[in-house]
Amino acid sequence: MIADRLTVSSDPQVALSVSELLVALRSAISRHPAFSNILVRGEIANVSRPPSGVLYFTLADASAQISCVLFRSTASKLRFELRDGLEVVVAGDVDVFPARGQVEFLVRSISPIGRGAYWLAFEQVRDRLAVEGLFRESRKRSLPRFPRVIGLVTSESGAAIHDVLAVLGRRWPLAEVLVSPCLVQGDQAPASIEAALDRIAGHVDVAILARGGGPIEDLWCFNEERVARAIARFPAPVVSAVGHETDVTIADFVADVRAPTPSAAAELVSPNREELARHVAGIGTRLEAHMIDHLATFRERCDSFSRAFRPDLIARVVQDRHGRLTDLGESFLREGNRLVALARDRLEAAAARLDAMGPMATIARGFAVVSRGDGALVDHVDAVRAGDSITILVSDGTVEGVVSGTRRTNG
Amino acid sequence: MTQTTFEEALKELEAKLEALGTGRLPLAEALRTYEEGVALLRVCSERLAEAELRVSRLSAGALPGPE
Repeated sequence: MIADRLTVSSDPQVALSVSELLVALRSAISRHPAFSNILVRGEIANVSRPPSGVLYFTLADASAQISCVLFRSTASKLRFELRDGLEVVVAGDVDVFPARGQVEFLVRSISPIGRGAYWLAFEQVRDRLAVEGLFRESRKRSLPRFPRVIGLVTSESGAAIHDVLAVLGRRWPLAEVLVSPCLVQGDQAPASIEAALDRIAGHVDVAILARGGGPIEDLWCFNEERVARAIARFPAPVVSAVGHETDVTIADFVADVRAPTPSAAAELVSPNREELARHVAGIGTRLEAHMIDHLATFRERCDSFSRAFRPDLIARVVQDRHGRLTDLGESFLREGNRLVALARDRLEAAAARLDAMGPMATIARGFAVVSRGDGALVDHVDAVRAGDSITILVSDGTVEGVVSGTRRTNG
Repeated sequence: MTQTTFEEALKELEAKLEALGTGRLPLAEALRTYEEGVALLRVCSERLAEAELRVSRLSAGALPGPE
C-alpha cells in the first residue's frame, strides 16, 4: 500500500521515483471529490495569452495562489476580459502536471464577483469605446433636412418595421425606404446587425436601427462591440431606437441620435409634409405680393413722370430761349456793322494819307515818270539812246516820245 | 435621379423670393423671376403631393442595385 511505501528509508530500492510520486498524486486528486467540479474564489493576476489561444493566470488570495488554465473553447466564450485584480469565482477541477511538478486548476467557467459577466463586459466595452472617443458629442452628425433614401435596419417580423413605415408614409412619402433585415436577439444577432448596416452603407442619406422592447438579455446584442463599431463607421447619420425609452444600450451611445421608440425615430428623420406644403404655399403668396408691389411701383413711376411732363411749360422755355437767341443775334449784327463802319473809316483815312505820299500825288504836282519800250523806268541817262521810243506818264495820261539825245549832269 | 429634387426646387424657390423681395430688379427681370418662381412652386407642390412611399426590402446577403 502507499502508506507502507512512504515509510522513510535510505534504501533507494524502496524509494519512489519522482514520476511515480507525481502520477500517484495526480491519481489521488482526480479520484477525490473535494478536488473535482469545485468552485474557488480569488483574485486574478499574471494573465497570459499565448498565441495558442489557451489562457493562463494565477488565482490568489492573501497567502496562497494556484495556477489556472483556461482552454481555448472556454476562453472564446468569455463575455468579459480577464484583468489583473479582478475578483472571480472559477469552476473546474484540480490537476497535477507531473512534467512540471505543478498543481493547476483547469477552469471550466469563470464569473466575476460582485456583478454579472454581462455587466462587466458592458462596462469594459463602454469604457474602451469611450476612451477611443466614439461617444463624443462632436462626432455626432446632424440629420439631413430632406432625406431622399432612408435605411431601416430591424427585424423583418417585428412591430418596429410597421411603425416606421406608417410614420414615413404619412409624413414623407416622397422618400424611398431601404429595409435591411437582421436578427435582433441571440448569439447571431451582433454579426447580423453589423452585416445589415454594412449592406446599406453609402446607399442611404440616414439610417434607423430599431428594435422593439424586451428584457435586457434580449437587447444585449446592441451592447456588442462589433455593432457599436459598425454604427461608428456608418457613412450617414444613424438614429437608434432600441427597446423601451428606459433601455439604454451601447448602440444608443454611439448613434448620432437616440430615439425613444421606432416611431419617434421615423419622425426625427422625416420632415412634416403638411408643414412643408403650408410653407411652400406661403412662399407662393409672398411671391405674388412682391410681384404686385413691383408692378405698383412701376405704375407709380409712370404716373409721376406723366404728371411732371408739361409740354406747355417746355414750349414756353423753348420760346424764351429762342427769343434770347434772336436778341443776341441782333445785337451781334449791330455791333458788327458798327465795327465794319469804323474799320472802313480808318481804311479811307489811311488810303488818303497813302495817296498823299504816293507817286501819283507827286505826279499831280508836275513831275512825270518816264519808261522805255520794254517797260523799265528811265531813271538814268544810260537807260536810253537817241532814237529809242519812250512813254511819259503824266497826271492825266501818257505822252509818247522819241529820244533825240541825252546829256549827263556834272557833279 | 435626373429630375429636380424637392430640396433643390425649394432652395431655388426661396432664392427667387429673396431676389424679388429686394424690390430692386428691373421690370423685365422681376417678371421673369416671378414666372420661374411659379414654375418651381409647382414642382414643390407636385413632389409633396406624392401619395405612395416606395419601400425596397433587401434579402439577407443581397447588395442593393445601382441607383
